[in-house]
Amino acid sequence: AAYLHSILNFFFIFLSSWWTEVQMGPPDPILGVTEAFKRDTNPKKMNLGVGAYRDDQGKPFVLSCVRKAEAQIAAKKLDKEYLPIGGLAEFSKACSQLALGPDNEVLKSGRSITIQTISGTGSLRVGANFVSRFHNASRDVYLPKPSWGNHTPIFRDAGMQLKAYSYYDPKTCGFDFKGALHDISKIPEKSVIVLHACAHNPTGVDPRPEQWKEMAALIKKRNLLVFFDMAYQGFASGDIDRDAWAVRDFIEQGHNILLSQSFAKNMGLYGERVGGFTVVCKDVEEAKRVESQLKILIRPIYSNPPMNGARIASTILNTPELYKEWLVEVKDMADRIITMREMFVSNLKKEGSTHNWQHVTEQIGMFCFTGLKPEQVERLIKEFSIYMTKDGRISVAGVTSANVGYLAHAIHAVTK
Amino acid sequence: SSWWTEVQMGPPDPILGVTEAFKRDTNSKKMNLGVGAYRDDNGKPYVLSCVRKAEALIASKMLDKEYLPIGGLGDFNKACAELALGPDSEVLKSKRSITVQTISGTGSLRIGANFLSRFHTVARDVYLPKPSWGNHTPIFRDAGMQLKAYRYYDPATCGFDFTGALDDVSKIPEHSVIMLHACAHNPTGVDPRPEQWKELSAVIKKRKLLVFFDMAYQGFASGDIDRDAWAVRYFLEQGHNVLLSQSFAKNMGLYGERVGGFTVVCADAEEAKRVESQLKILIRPIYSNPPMNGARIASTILSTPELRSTWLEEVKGMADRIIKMREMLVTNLKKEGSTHNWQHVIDQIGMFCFTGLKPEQVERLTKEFSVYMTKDGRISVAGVTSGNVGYLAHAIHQVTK
Repeated sequence: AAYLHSILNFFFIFLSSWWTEVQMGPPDPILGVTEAFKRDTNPKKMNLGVGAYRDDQGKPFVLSCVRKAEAQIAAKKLDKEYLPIGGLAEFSKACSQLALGPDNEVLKSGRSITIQTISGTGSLRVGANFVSRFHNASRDVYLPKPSWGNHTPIFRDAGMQLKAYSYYDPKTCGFDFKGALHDISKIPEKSVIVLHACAHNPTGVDPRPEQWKEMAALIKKRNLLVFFDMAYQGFASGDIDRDAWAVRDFIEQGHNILLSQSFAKNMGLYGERVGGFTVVCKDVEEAKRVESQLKILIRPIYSNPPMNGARIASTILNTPELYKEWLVEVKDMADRIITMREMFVSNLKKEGSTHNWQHVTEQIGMFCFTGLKPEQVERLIKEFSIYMTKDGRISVAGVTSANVGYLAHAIHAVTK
Repeated sequence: SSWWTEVQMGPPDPILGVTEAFKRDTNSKKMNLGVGAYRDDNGKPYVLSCVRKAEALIASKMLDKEYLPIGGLGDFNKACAELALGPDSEVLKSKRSITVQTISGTGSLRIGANFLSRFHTVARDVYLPKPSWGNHTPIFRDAGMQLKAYRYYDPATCGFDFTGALDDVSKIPEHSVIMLHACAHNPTGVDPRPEQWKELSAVIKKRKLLVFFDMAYQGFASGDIDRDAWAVRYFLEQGHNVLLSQSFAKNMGLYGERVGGFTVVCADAEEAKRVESQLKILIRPIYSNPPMNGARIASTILSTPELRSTWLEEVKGMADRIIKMREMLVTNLKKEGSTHNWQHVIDQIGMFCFTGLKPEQVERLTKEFSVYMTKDGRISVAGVTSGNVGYLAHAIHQVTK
């Protein structure tokens, strides 16, 4: 009887499959690079795919201020009770102060709400969901061309429509300022416009302050809802205030912005998933209404955010010696990247490359848009085991003084 | 010019809102029987000793903080699936399931809901037991599904409405999704008996329904992890290719670390790979990859023999204390002179007890006695201690006599 029963079950399983129509999906373009890299057995292989910082030995770097914060936290023997839906309050407060500056009028007046989120992605998605539910004036989100690949599915899965404005000029490997202004001037009123606060991903190309000012004026004229993505504060120039300049200027100009922050890179907290989402409102009363709706939105996604990373970030931001140490460490990371950019260019020249590689040292942040074409990228992967995303983006953080020569040699080989 | 002028003030979360109100109360005798978070007999949050040991082990390894894969920590996923399905599960041996690490139980349910919404195109309907955990409704609704219900709780007996459930389930349109609480039903604490589960399984199979198990209390209900997973494992043996959400918030006390798993049991390994790829595509634009800390702790406990033994003892200890509090509450109610039948308090299982109190009585308990619970009369027995059970019995007797 049991035998018959199991035969029947076999047929039941065989005949009724819920997921027959589910197609095999393509691997994530960015994370898929690391997966391919891991499979490669070439000892000279280089992973310039994911934007995760590496020290000059090519090793993951856990900041010393993070280790100290962890030790402090462990000593307190804290419990593991649920955080509030909006996260750890001391974290959210310090997070917004870091972005806006502690003396910001917005913070003094209490007219913003900042909640803890699951790093930058979680922040953007909560923002996208919020906009989808409450920004009825428009369905359109304008991304710079190009933008981080994941922006598109984030907004699309949240129910928004994706559009684009000119941003990167492939001829100069720099900012297409005229093109950007031109496109922005035509964006329908009340559309959402996403701006990378600093260290644009994937190009590394940032507007200059005077260019930001013109954009702020034009965006105000077009009456657009600004959504800043700041994933690299401190990481771009090495100075947290300088990197937050655009965000603060826009607020001063009267833009009531949305803002996503990530501590994945600037605190090396990648896998701990630490981020914040801020809505700058008209006044305190509006901020309270918005907060209540953010909670209603978040509760059926994940209830409340993970505590560990937020405790670490909060400890660092709120403990003066740790905060100072952090500023030094984030500047060191930014400086090493700047050094690698310089070494990369000088090695290319030594190889005999006649191309103009100026953009490598002008671009800023973790990434460099090399200008390499897909076929050249393919050759780099296949012939040299150098892994990057198909758009020619390299993570400079993956370059070391030991491998920069090999990288220059390989790039010269495919571009000469 | 304000973007958010039309945004209304929303109501506070019914469950988490209880804790917020409790915190504001200055009465020294106040009791928080709202959120389902375990408390020891001194009313204090309890961090398991196996958790502290796992944390020490992990800290000593000086691990980095690199991103986990989209689907989470591989070792965790494996151990998580084995815990639910049992190490000898045919499903695991044939590799015909995929388990991804999620942001605790809520995150798991939402991923499942999103997956259903995108890929289970034959039906939009999700059937919840009546009543169910309050958050199930917005989870499935925000994911784009339609909510329906089947009878479950019988207020006349404060027990399982087995006839009503079978009747309703037998009428559910084919291919609909049916949500089942694997053990320790939330909010009622009322679970089907094994022979009732067997009949449910047969009717569900006959109706060709897609089963979605929510198992948030494995180990916490009876004190025995295999016994609590019995229904899940039985359904699998009967050929149901289930969806399963697991949480380690309660059974490992990892609440704020957000540790959970989502499993899809498929026809074969090839299908499991296709499903996995689509789960990753779904997850990436929600949060990219899950938080590492809690998963490392859970994984360490599950795969380190002495820690696992310690854990099994500690989870049994928690379950036993709750069972004891149920007994003490009933004893004290009788001592107070209550003539009501409180048997259901002992018959129900898990963290919660559906007292049968009406909203007006709950209101009085909150206002006159500073005893906080959700409006449906659900109490978290975990919040009861030998120190306050007398006060609780007294208060309940006052509003029900």
